[in-house]
Amino acid sequence: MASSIENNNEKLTLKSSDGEEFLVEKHVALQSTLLQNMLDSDCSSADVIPLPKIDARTLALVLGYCKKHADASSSKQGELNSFDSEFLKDMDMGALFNLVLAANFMEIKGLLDIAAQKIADTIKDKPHQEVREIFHVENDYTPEEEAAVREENRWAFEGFP
Amino acid sequence: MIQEVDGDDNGHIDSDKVLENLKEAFSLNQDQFQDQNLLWIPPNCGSAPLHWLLTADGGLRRLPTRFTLLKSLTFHTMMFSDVVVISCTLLLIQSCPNLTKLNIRFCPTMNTFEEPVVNYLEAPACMDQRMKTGLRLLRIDFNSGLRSCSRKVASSFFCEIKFSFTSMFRSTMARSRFGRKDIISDLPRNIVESILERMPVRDAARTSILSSKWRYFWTTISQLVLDDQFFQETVRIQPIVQLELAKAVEKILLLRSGPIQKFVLCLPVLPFNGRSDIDHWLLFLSRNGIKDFTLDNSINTPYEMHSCVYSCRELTRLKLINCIVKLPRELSGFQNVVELHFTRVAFGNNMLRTLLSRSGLLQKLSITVCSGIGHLIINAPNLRELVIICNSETDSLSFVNTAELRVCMIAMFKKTASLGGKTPSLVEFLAGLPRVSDLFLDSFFLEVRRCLILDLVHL
Repeated sequence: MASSIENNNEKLTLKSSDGEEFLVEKHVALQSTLLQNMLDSDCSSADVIPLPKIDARTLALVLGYCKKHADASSSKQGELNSFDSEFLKDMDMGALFNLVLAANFMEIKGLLDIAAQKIADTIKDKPHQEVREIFHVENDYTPEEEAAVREENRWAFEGFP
Repeated sequence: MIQEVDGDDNGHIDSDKVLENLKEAFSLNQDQFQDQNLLWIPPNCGSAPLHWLLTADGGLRRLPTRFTLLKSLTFHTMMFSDVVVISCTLLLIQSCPNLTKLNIRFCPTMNTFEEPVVNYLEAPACMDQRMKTGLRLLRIDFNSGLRSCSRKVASSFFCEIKFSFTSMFRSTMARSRFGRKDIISDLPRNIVESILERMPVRDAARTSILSSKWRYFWTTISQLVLDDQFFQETVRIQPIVQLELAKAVEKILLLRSGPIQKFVLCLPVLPFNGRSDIDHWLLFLSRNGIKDFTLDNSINTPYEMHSCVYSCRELTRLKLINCIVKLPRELSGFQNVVELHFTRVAFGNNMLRTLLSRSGLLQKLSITVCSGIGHLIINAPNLRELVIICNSETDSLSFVNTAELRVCMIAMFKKTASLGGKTPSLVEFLAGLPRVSDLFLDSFFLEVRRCLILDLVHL
């Protein structure tokens, strides 16, 4: 097991929901407020920290993000920004949602911000029918209710079909 | 109900019956169907009716008829997420020998299995046999991108081929495990809020129509930005009378549930003088725990701030542009303010000094092109950034307790009458800024204490 090979304070092991283990440098893990709190509260870093809600593929992405941000010095803000914008670029919605849930769970604010922004950008300027399709939201309004909602926010729907 | 349609042994079938079934399967209305030139498959038609096209083991059933009249075929917002949709698409394309236009628009966000469809279209067999004679326009929009597509294949057969790739799909992301599940409505509320806060208010409000769950999601967002874009859109869309505009803002506020932490109001470029409306909004905000408030009144005559703002105990950040600030009858707030930005603000009698004296936590202060400053004493133990630019009616300026100041910018940009009174000498001034890392002064400021510069030499 990875943790037994390099069992020192500078690394810790994270375990994904599907059982894969990731050996992570401590300063990378500290990007996550959740992990930071766990370490602060004297969680031995020799232990394997289970992350039961995050699958291996998502965790790998999350850790990639954390590593980039932990390693970049503050003077490279421009580089980080372009990394951020590339990071989510071609991601499909399923992966993006996994990521936003993981960022929320692990309390990684920067990642949560960019993922939420990406989803927001997907929704805005689109007709609601299309948004429903993209996210598989089932329309449970009756035509009367739908008309009432429209009327309630009439200012927002003017000019939209 | 959809019936199975099978040809007889000779492959002969009742084409009317097929059309009837198709009509039902795709919920087409009569008009659409009579005009066979255009068969549009509505998105999200679901897999149930499509089953009709497949054999029991999921294989492709031969479509019993050819749609010889069909010229234009559009697949809209396609999500090729299962074999049924793919088979159906291919089957239909195969069955239309006289197509001249084929449009396939993939769903912009779900990367699924477009490949079989594209591969099929690229296959010479497909082109040779069926379509090369007629198809003149093949348009495939990969909004979400696809890793590769050999464009040369089809080019010999079509006059016009449009492939739009907005992005190329390079990574080897596994497929979504969400399938056709509603992937957004069940997100934790804080994430939904975070998403809604990251789009214009109008777009957020329009999510109310998605489903009953979404009806009031948007009303809990704690940040409202009613900026130029908001007002311009609202005005442009409905030739609005002022009343309507005010009504829209009021509706937004009234529907609110939960505190409004941030409110940005940029009054629009229109003859908008509903001062009492603004008063009402401010009153509402002040009672709903406003923390961060911006009022940009650049383009109108100065607005006199409603005094309720000075009683907001939760207020941490205030930014005012082109307003009048007068001493209120009651001043019970401001003790939590960390950021103050005043631009083109006319202060009443010693009002600025009074406000600052209450703001012990202040970290950032900017006073730009303001008037009525009077005797200004900066007594702010936590102040990090200070900008004082181009103000008029400044009687004196002195620094007490500014040891934490990092960024300091003081400029007059014009000759002013001397800063008299308790204005410190330059030496005293600099001595009061032990941690300053960024200092910006202009000659007019220095000029006032020209004779005192010499003091520096003797330090």
